[in-house]
Amino acid sequence: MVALDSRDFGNFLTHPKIRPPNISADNSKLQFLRDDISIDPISSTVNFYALLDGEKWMCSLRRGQSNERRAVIEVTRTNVVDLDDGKEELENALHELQEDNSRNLNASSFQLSSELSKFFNEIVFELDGSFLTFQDMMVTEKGASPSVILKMGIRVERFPSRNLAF
Amino acid sequence: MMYYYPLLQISALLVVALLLLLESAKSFQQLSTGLSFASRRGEDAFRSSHKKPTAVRASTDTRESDSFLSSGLISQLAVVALKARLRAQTSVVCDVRAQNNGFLQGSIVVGPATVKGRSWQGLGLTCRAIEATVDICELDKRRIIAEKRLVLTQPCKSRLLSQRLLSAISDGLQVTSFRRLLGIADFTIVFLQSPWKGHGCS
Repeated sequence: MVALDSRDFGNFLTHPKIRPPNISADNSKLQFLRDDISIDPISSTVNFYALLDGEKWMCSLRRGQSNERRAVIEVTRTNVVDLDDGKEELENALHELQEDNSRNLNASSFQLSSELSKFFNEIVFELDGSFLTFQDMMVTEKGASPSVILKMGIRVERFPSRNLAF
Repeated sequence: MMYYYPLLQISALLVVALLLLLESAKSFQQLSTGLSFASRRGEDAFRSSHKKPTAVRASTDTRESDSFLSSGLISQLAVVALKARLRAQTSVVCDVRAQNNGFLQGSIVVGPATVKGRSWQGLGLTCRAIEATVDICELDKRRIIAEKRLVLTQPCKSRLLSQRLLSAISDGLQVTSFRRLLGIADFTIVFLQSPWKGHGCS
């Protein structure tokens, strides 16, 4: 088990060994962001951000009910364009556009949520011969700041090199 | 025969100790302290075993002193090795239990082994607290001697111990400063970058 606060979690997410998933539709590259991570013990969620095709998405990680799917991530886009202001003619057109956009966003959110959940549940983090896998998680407010406790499996195939740079 | 087991163990332990000693000059003083400590405890246990009146009791005591000597020394060495490899930490604790007859085969077998720590930094990872346990860790004694390397003969696997991690968080982390939080562990995680990290990284 390992306890991570928001900065630890950011370091974990953005570690070079963590390779975010390719989003299957157009093989777009997802990029996790190190900053603005928050751990909310009230909702038992870890909130972090990711960039995809220039758009910023908020990802909310929580514990799932299924043993096979302990990590559940829900994704929402953060920079949705505000279409409230505009002329009447334009509003109708924009409204249609917004609906299309909303449908696309929902589809994108759903797909991204599914991909990220799968990514976390199946992650294998390899550190010089040691393989870490995600098993379970919990959020706690104990300590100086809230933290997420990850239960991880470890399999040590070989001991790390003596010369490994720490 | 009663003296044979302790001598074998002490020899093997000294080899491991010397290898680790060579690995890090920084850890020299701590390692020496650990060796002295373990040796004194071992001598005490050895003398004590000779005061026992019956062969059966002496035999039992010899096994106990073997286990105590092995686990004590290996734990010390593991802590030294971890501290020498981590970029920063505020606590490293290692509890290694020796296996009976663990030194009498081609391998050195220890376990269960638990590593606990706080505020570890290394390998670009950080964590506030970590606790990891493996049941068995089997080292290739021949390769230790021939190649001066610690090599596993079988993969080590972790197992969950308890929720003591939570108390570790509430106990000690208020005074912890997180400046350059770079990494786990190992996960963490990984914490587990010393030869004995295998015991402890989860």
